[in-house]
Amino acid sequence: MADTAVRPAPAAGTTQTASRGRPGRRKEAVAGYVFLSPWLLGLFGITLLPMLYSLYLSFTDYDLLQDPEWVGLENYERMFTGDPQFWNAVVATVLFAVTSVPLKLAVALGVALLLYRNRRGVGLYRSLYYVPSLLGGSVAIAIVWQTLFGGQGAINEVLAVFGIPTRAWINDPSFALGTLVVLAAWQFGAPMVIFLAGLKQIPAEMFEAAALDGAGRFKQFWHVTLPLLSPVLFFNVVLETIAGFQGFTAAFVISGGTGGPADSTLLYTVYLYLRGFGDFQMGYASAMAWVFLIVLGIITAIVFRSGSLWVHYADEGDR
Amino acid sequence: MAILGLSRTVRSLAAGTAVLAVLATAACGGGSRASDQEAGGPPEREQPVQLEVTWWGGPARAEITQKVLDLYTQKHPNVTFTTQWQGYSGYYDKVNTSAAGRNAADIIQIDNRVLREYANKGLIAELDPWVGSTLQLDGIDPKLLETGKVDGKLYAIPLAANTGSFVVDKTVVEPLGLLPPETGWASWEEFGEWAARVNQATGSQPWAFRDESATMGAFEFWLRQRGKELYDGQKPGFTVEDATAWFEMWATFRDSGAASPAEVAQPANGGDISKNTVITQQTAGTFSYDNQLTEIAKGTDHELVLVPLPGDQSGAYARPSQFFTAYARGENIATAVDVINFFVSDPEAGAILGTERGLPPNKQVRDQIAPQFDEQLQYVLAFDERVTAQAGPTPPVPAQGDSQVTRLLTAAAENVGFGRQTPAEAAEEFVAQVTGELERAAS
Repeated sequence: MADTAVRPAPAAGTTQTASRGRPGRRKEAVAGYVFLSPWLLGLFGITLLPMLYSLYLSFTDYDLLQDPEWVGLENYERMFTGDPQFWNAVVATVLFAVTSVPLKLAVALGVALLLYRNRRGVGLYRSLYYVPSLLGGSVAIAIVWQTLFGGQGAINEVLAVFGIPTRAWINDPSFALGTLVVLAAWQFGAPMVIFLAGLKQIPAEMFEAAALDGAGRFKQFWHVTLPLLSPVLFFNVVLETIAGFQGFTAAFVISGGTGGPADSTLLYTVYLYLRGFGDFQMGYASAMAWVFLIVLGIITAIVFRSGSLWVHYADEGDR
Repeated sequence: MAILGLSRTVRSLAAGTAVLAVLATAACGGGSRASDQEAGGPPEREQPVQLEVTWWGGPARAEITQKVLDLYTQKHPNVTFTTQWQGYSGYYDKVNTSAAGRNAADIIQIDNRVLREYANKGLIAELDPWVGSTLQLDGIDPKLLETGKVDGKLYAIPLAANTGSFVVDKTVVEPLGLLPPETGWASWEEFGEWAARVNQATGSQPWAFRDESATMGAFEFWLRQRGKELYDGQKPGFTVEDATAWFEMWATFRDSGAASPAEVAQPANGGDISKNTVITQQTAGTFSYDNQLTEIAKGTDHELVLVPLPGDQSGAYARPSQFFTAYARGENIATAVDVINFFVSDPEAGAILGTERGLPPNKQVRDQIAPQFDEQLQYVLAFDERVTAQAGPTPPVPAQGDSQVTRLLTAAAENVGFGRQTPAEAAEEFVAQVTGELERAAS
């Protein structure tokens, strides 16, 4: 194996001029791979090989302790025809993603619009609004959320002051997922920063020109800001959609690792975890993971396709 | 050019993979020495041995367990311990995960819910080779010891026995003149009437009783009163009609105010004692295993009483509250077994453990230490002996896949409790899913 790395590349098909530069380039290539090696190790050791292994496992009955046993498509068949909880998980996940992603992006854009002009102390506010993103994915915040929205939590105490009927938000299947959506939306920092960068790129003349033409604030937003921001918005939509479908920590911690009440917060990833590590059905969990990967791939592809309908690139006219 | 570039990439990838494969093989070389050990061999106490012990429970249990481990170290200074403990919910996920990584704790506390699963999957060691030598089990009630056996082989040593009870907040109900009779209620209907009266008197502050429709222990007791069991081998031992009646009964209780709304009950459905509604003072009563009185009493300043579950006590049984098991891949199984033996048959250890985990399983130890028990422990002991004297036969070890069944019961009860399904709908779905899961778990 070792000699392949130093063996000169076959000369066939290459010209004299090209081969003169070869040795140096090859050295560079080797150096490049050496520098890349930590990443390559990670890619193969932690991502690619385990992924391929999980693909194999998805066709087996594997209980983590004994050797996997080949069962063909049984896991996939069971998922689609013999497991009602699987569909509960699908419904909860789709509900979560289609509500949390738009809400989070709307909040991110709204706050970015407020913060992008240079006012006094704007740097401080930008940092402050970014903080939830740093903390939000953590277990600690999920526990705080659980306490805030519990039956005897602070949210209820505040509501009671205003005479609003209180309820156990996280313990009621009609509201539990909603509190998770609010938690997700609260972590708007990362898309907000990206929106801020995008807003800074919009030339001020555009707004001046629009204002001269008599466009009000709303029209400026609709006809100038939004189209010019659309590539950034597109980027955020893609990222947040993927992240939205993968939500795990909050649902797992807040429901005490059950996906309850009444499976209402049984997100796909939570169910996958319960099957794999709670029920020793790693083969089934692997099959679920692969279905998830493929469906997420399709959804992302659809989002990408839809981009041509609404994403406006500023340099398009030049081409 | 493109093709050349590609092939070079492929070669580099292959080289990288080869390196990884070598690394992986090297990592496996370390292998466990478990296979070198002789089953039934003497415990290693001359060389330094470190054992990891894991259990679920609250702070009270952690404190006394640590004390017993310290006592063992005091007697055998070469043997030291690391410990891990947490609440019940999520506990098994963690054990399973560490077992999958081949590094579970040497001594693992389990309950009968996973016993069959762990034994069949070879996670825990068979202990028969040590019986009579390291393991001195003569004082343990044979019926109780039987609960640690799977297909006739001993895998788990009962640390304690307990039985189901209703724990009632005396501080709340006594001033109302509604202290329940010490012997309990003659029937579930009578219980419902009592609870409804309590709730009227308190004005739902707190609620009279927690909605226990998602509680496996209560469901099992009730089934046994009807002459059924939770499991019939690898099949559910109950029918859709049974499950419907169970969900309907609790729906009636909720309607009459006897039972709390589902949203009050739900947080404790995960089995975490810190969410116990008598501790949080949201309800005046809840289902609890009698030994848990120690932990609950620590969490509230109210006075508590134990009451038997309603109806005749044929539903009750001396239940192994927890077992200690030895990890089959542990490096010093024999020493682990000796520590387990210390927990169940050493009188000093027994005196420290009290009834926190349940009644001491060893009759000799129990008789020796009972006189030193404080008032609360004496109370639990008396309650337990009174109930188990009338108890029915001990059911077989739960079916493989019990963890799924627990989850399904919770989901079904919550669906009814929150009005998303009628009792009949939920029951039908519940039984169908249980049947399917059990069938699968055994295959």
